[in-house]
Amino acid sequence: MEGTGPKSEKLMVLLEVGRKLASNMDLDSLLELIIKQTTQVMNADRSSLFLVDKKTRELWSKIAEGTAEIRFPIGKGIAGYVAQTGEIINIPDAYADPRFNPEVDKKTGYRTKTILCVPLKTTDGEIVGVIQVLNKKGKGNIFTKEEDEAILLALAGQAAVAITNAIYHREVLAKQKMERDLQIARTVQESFLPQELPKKAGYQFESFYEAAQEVGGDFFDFIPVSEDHIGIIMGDVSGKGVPAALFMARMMSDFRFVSLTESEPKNILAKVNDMLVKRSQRGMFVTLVFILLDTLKRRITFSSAGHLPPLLVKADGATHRLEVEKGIPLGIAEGREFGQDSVPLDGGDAILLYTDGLLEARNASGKEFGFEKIEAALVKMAASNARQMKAYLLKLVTDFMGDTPQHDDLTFILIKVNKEKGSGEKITASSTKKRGKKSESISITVPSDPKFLSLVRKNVDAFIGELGYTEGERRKIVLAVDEATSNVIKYGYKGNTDKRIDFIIEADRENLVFKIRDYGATADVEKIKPRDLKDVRPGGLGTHFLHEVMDSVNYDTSLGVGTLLTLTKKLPQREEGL
Amino acid sequence: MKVNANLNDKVLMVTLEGEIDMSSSGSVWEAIAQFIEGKKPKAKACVVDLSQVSYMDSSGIATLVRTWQATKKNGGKMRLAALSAPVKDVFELAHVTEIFEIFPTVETALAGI
Repeated sequence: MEGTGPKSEKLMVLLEVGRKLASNMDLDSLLELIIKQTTQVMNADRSSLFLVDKKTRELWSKIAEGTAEIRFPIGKGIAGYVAQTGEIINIPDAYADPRFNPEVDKKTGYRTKTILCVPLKTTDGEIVGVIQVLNKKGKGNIFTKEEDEAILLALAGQAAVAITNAIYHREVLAKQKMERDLQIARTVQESFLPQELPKKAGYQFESFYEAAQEVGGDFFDFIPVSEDHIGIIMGDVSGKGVPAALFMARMMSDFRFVSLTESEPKNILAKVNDMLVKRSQRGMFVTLVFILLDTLKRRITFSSAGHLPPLLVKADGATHRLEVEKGIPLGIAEGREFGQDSVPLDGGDAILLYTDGLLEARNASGKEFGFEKIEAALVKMAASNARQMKAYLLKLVTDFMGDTPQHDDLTFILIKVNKEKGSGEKITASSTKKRGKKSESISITVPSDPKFLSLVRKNVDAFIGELGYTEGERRKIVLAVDEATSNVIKYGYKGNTDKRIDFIIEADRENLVFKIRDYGATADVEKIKPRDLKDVRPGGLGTHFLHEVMDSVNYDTSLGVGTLLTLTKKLPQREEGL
Repeated sequence: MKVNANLNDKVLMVTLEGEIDMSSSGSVWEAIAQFIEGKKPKAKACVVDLSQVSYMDSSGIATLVRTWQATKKNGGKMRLAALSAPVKDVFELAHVTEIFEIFPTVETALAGI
């Protein structure tokens, strides 16, 4: 557009600009567009736009044509004055006006002659910024009151509405993104927390987890390290949101992985620490405590990476904080060593693992829940079971907090050692029978003691009794299962008699299936091939029986611990339809 | 499981009763070994009565194989008598029927040993 056209033409342009502005929801490009269009429509040399920062009572501009970001207080200079008063300022000769600040010209080498500055007012009358145009080009080089002021005001009105919308839009988007992030973070986090508590005779486990509004980084896990060792982790990742949740998820699988090869908690922490540092997630670290529970020997070995000490409450009410040296959080520095300690457990003992969410739970007056209250609660409930302890502790902390919003995740684990060592300790033989429409099954658990072979045989014989096998076939099937079980004791458990063997026996319409699960040394499939029949040496004969009697023999050693042996035998052919 | 071992004129008469599996075969071997092991064993021959055996697994067979090997080493003999049905089954599976000298009754086994 060259010079000043007829007024109607300018109004058309104005309408067009309005439409463009209204359709632009991105604040940065909107401001750029406003400045560009204003300079053009006003036939000026330059335009600047300043937005009001309500918090700091400043005017600021990211894009003042030809300059970098500027900030100055409302009230200062011409733009500041306009923002404060909402008046229009039209200066025909800048250097003759005392309100003009020539500093900027000095810095930039620009020569300001004429200035027209108007407020950006929304329809509610709120001033969201100011726009100023400099150095009118063409006729008279002066911004006229009747035409230029009116047009700039109209333009400013449209710009104000568009800017308000864009800011609102930006805030909504940011809020939506934050909510979505939180939702994702929560989903990731919760999907990685254990869904089930460990089941171990002689022990009770309870856990509690409640995320704060803004998800914190609390996590816990139970890792089945071996048949009689459980790894228990309680920790807190430093960050929040999606990155922290992903970091946590990955770290939890690191722990499971490392626990397969390392058995000392301090070594497990050292290895995972190095893995985290190498992965170098800036600013992410984690405090945690790792307890290895030996369920057989009734002993815990623990190590800590800068985490709060677990509490041990003895059956007689004495409390101990399980502290170890040298714990710095994981993920900060490579090659660190971690302290470790070990204590025996007695029947009736309880252990509490927790994060600062419990310790620092606040009441209305800002007071923290604290060690003393936790310890007192545990001592008071020393004779109760884990579930009752959990309920009491929860009630105590929620009563303490009252209506004060929970500012951090609230997470804890309780482990209670049963009094009855004998029954809790030993694996006792048990069996459960299920009968479906199309199939029938029985689960049997026995200790890895040859004394129980006879019991296994009786169960097997009773189960297959009704399936239509001949007496000879029945004897051979019983023999095969007996041999498989003997092999588990001899090779899987190397003669240890206090381990566990699980059986599932199923019969559907076609097959009889035995699943025999042990948790000992992994069966070497190469070694347990059936022997050469001409070789009459003892040993290996049992495996030969398995293959001779069963239709299929399958060893699965991919389970991490132990072996799952599946034996399948076809059911006898029934004379159906005759 | 019950094991009864009687030495009579250098012939060891072993009577087994009940179930022989991994938990009991060890004691079967102990009961027999004292008569047939060593440089100068007390027993030159051995007859095992299997009529009362209600169950036998590979460890039972292994024990019988050991007994057979030990007596053979000293120039002696081992005979098995009166196999019960479960014993017959497991012998067939193990293909050991041809290895052992098997007699239908204790009397026939003892005759001419």
